[in-house]
Amino acid sequence: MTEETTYVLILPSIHYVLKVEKEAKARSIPIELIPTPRQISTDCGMVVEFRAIHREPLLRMLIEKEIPAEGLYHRKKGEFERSQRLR
Amino acid sequence: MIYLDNAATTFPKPDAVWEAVLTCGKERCGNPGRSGHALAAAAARELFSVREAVAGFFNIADSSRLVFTLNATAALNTALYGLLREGDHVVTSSLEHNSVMRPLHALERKGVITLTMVPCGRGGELDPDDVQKALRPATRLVVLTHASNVCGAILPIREIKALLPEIPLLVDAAQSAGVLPIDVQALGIDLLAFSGHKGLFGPMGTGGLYTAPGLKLSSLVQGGTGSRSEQLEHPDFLPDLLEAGTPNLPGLSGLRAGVEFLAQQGIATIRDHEMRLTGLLLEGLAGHDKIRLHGPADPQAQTAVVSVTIDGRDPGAVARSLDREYGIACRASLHCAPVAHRTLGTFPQGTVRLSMSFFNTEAEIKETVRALGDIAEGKI
Repeated sequence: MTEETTYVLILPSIHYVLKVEKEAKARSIPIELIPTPRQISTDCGMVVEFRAIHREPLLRMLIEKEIPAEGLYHRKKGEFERSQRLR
Repeated sequence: MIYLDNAATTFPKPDAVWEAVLTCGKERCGNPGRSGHALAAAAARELFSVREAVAGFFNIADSSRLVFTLNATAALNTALYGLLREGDHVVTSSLEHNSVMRPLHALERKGVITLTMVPCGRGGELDPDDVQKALRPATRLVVLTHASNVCGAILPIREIKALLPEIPLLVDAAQSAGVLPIDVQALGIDLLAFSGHKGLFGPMGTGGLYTAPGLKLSSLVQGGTGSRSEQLEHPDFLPDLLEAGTPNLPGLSGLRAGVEFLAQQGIATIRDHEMRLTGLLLEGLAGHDKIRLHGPADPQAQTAVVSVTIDGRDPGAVARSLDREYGIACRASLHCAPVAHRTLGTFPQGTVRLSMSFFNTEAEIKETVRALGDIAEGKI
C-alpha cells in the first residue's frame, strides 16, 4: 500500500484483528494484516492496514459489529499520527 | 474390541481429527497472538477459525464469548469460581457429576455459597417445578447437567429456563455436546461448559465455556495473553480474560475437524443411530430376570448411556469379565457421580455403564447383550 494514503487500526487482541479481517472480507473492504510497526504499541503482533478511501465503511463496520478498536493511526511518510476520530 | 466407554471419551475418532492435529503441528504451530511472523499469523488464523466453527455449531452469535479450556471440568470451575460471590445461593440437581458437585461443595464448605440440590426421580427425571420451588431471593445460578453421565437421563433444560428467565443457567454439556442438538439461544443457556473429547470427537485437552452477553466472569487464572502486555492487570475483555497461557492449538484443530464431521453427518442422524443402538441394548437386556436397568430405560429420554447391574454380581467383576472374556470395554462403579448413584438407588456398589457412539454397530450391541446374558446366567 502507498504509505501516504493508509490507516493502521489497532485492536485489543488477535481475535479482533481476525474478526476485522473476516467482516471486511464479507463487505468487500480491502484490508491487509501486517506485523505491528515498531512505532506503535500493541503486542498481539498484527494490525489492520487499509487505504484512506475505505476508512468510513470500515469504521462503520466496527460499530455495527461491536468490534472494540483501541486506536487508529494515519501513516504519513513512514510516520504514524494518532487519529482522533475512531468512532 | 467393542468399545462401550464413549461417555468417558469417544473412541475411535474420525480420521480427519487426527489428520487435522498433524497438519496443524507440522504447518501452523506457531504461538497464536504473540508475534507478527508468518507462522504465528497462521496459528492465530487457525485458532480463530476453530473458535468460529465451534461457536457456529452451538449458535453462539459472537465467537469471542467462547473460550477454550483444558476440559469440561476446567470450564465448569471457571464458570463457578468466576461468577459466584459470598452470599450467593445456587440450585443444582442430584444427577450432577463431581466436576459440578465438588467445586460447589468446596464453595459451600468455605461459607461462600449456600446450595440446594433438587432431587431427581429414580429414573433420573427432574421436575421443572421443583427447580422453581428451590429458588430464593439470593439465588444467583442454576447449574444442571444436560444429560447424566451415569444413566443418560436428559434434563429438561429448556423448560426449566423458561420458568426462571432472570436466573443465569449453567449447563454441563459434557455428555450432550455432539450428541443432542444444542442451540444456546433457543435453549436459553447463559453458560455452556463442554468437553471436546467426547461427543464432539476432538482430542483430549480440549473443552470450552460460553458466556452469554450481559454476564461477566472474573478470571480464575491470570497470565500471558499476547494483549495489553504493558499492564500488570489481566485483560478484561473476552476471549483473553478467560484464556491465559498458550492454548492447545493442535488439539483444537482436531476439535474443529470433529465438529465439521458432526455437521456433515448431522446431529439428527447421529442421534437416530444412537437411539437405535440404545433401544436395541435396552430391549435385549429388559427380559432378563437377573439384569437390572437403571435410569430412564427409554431411548427418547436418554443419551446412548445405559447403566445396568446383575443380581449378585459386583459391577467391577462384571466389567472385568466383559473386558477379558469378550473384549468389551466399559466402565464400572460410581462414574465420579456418587450423588447420582444415590438418586438411582445404586450407591455404593455402582453400576456397569455401557456408553455408545456413532461408530458402534448393531452387531456389537447384540454381542454385548449376549455377553451380559452369559454372565448373568453364570456361564462366565
